[in-house]
Amino acid sequence: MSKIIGIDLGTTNSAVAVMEGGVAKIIPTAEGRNTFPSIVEPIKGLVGDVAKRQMVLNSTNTIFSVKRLMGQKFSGKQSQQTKEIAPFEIAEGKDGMAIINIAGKTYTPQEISAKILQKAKADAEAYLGQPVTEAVITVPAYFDDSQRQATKQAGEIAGLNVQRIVNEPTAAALAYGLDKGKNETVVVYDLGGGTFDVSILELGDGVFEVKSTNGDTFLGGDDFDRRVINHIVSEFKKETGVDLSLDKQALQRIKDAAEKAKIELSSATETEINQPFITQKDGQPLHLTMKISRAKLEEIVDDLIAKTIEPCKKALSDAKLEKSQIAEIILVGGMTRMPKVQQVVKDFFGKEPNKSVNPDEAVALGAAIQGGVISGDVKDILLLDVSPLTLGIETMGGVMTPLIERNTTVPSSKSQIFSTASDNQPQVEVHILQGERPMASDNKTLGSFVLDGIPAAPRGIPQIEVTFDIDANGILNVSAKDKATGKEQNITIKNATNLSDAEVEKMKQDAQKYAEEDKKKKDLVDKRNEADTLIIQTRKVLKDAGDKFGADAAKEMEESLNELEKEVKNESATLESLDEKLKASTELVQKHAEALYKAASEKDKPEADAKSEGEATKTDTKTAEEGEVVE
Amino acid sequence: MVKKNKNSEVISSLTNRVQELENAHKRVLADYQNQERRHREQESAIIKMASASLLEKLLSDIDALKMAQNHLKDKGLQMVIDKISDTLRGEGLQQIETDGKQFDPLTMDCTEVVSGKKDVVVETVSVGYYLFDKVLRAAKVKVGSGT
Repeated sequence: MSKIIGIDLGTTNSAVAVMEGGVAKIIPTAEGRNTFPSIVEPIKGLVGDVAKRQMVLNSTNTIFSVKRLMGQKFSGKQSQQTKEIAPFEIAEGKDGMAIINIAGKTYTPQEISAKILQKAKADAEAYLGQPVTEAVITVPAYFDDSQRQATKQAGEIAGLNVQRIVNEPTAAALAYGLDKGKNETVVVYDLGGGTFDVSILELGDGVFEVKSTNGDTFLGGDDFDRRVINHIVSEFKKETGVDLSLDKQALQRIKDAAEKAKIELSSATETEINQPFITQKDGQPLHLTMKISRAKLEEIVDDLIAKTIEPCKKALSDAKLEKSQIAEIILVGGMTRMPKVQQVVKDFFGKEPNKSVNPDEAVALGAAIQGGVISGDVKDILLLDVSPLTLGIETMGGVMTPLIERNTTVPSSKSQIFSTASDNQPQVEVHILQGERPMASDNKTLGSFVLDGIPAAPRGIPQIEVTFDIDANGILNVSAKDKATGKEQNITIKNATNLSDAEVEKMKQDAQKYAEEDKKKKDLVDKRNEADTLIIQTRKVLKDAGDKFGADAAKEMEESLNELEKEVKNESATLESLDEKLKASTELVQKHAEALYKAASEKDKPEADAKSEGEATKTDTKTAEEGEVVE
Repeated sequence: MVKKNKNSEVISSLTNRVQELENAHKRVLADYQNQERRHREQESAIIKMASASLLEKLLSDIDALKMAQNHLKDKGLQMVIDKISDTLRGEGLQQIETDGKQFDPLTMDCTEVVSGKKDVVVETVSVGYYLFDKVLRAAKVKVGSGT
């Protein structure tokens, strides 16, 4: 079955989403944005941003807000109101329905909406790489049967089989995941670009019932923008005496700046509008620089926000409910990002509104979820868990070496090769840890086991493969295998992902709190390990080929190593003291080794090639990881 | 007899369940493969377009410099503007040709209609740019009304 896409067919903007990997995702448009303007130029077949760009030039042929005309009689209030603001011609068509006349051709609102849906379909097909024929489309809860029918027809014209028409507030509630909860009553507060809707929904057993709806079909973000523009123009006039509203280019720049300022003031408390060379006066350039505070913006649009409260009251009384009976308020529409809007909603309902889903995308995401339910995508989706904390083992020096990182989606498995820490080590202990701290002792022990029977070999030579396998139920299986003998040991740990939120939080906080201290500890251990390696390797070389260095050099090196070893074993050694001794020893060893090689190469120059080959094989044997398993 | 019936019921319900799970599994695999494909496709695009958002912000600052130059007509400032333009060109930015061209909504944004040849760009208000083959910013233009 092909994918069912969810389409938010909006008055000012539209968006498309689809279920993928068990979650709803917004499909980006061909222009790379998450929503596109619901604007259509039907003659040339332009839709979205492209149609918007030629709107000024071609205003009588460019249709916007067509949703207001869907399934409406021409004589109706909605059509007449739209006619007043629309530069394109709205007329009476068959059965008294509103139609649009453009360049001598007649278009029904369905046909225009179909163009928007066609773009949605094309963008989805490009994204998914497969044909799309099925869709779920959203409509306002107050749409009557003929409006819903018209929307369905629009889908069919666009070549989409409309699986379902869903109420916008229901889709939003789905996107917020409210269908999984208990029986409760929620309010959906939707302040978009051009319209305001408030709906009261009763949820229970996966059924959504719209109890009441209200709103203002001519109130939205555009009104807020206009207020900001007017403010800027009037302030500039006060300051300079120049009326920028007469200058179309200046006005265009102010419009862009006003929208930007409005958005910025949702996160900042003050923003600066900066438009140099905005106009001229007496041959001198004038610059527009103006600071707008969040408080000022709130003052300018105060009455617009207040206008949303009356519909909320009416919706409540229509549903015969008290504010106290509302379990949740969810916010939809870009304007609800404004802190003042959130505050007013909170003050009215006496409850913090839920704003966890991107308000521009919630409706489309919900439509996609509905599509997923229909296609069976959602029903059997395994809710995949993540491993809440890092899982790893203890390695040399008491260090925690992670194998499965925090937030890895399970089931997952990972292997890594480790080796022994000392010569002829017969066994290794695999100590399994959980936590975010670099030192083993600071993390939680999940279990441990011993793999024995490792054949005698120098440190670093045996290859022990440790595998972590965590299944979808959080059961962790750890095994260790000696690659030489094939001998294996394992342990199963139940509930490796099953930690309480508080536990996870505490462990994460500890990791943060002790980050610096832990780093110091770990650096010290690393340094000790480094020194240890140098001591062991150099002693081995001295044992095998000490005579080649000459007695003095060998003695000098041995003394230096002894001193370094003393420091390694010294409990109170610091990173600096160790580093100093390590550096001294390293330099000394390098100096003598260099001298030795120099002497050797001078002696057997013709054999140089053969020698370098021999060295290459030597390095090959050192494939095992440095972080050896503890004894 | 009764027992047998029950068994076949269990078997058929299990068969259904297996089929359901198999379908779900296929779906997840398909999603994953699609995701992989898209990831490959997007990878190079993302690397190429990584600077897009920074460049877009810089463009408005360059507009301001150009506006200053229109007024000041300073040779030094012109050199600075040319230098910045050169740098941006090196990053894949290319100016959209507009003056005297037929208006094209794919690359231009009409901000005003003025007297002039119909549907032809009379004046460029702000220059538009391609970033490689994509329109990073549409040019803002004044277009002739045919009068």
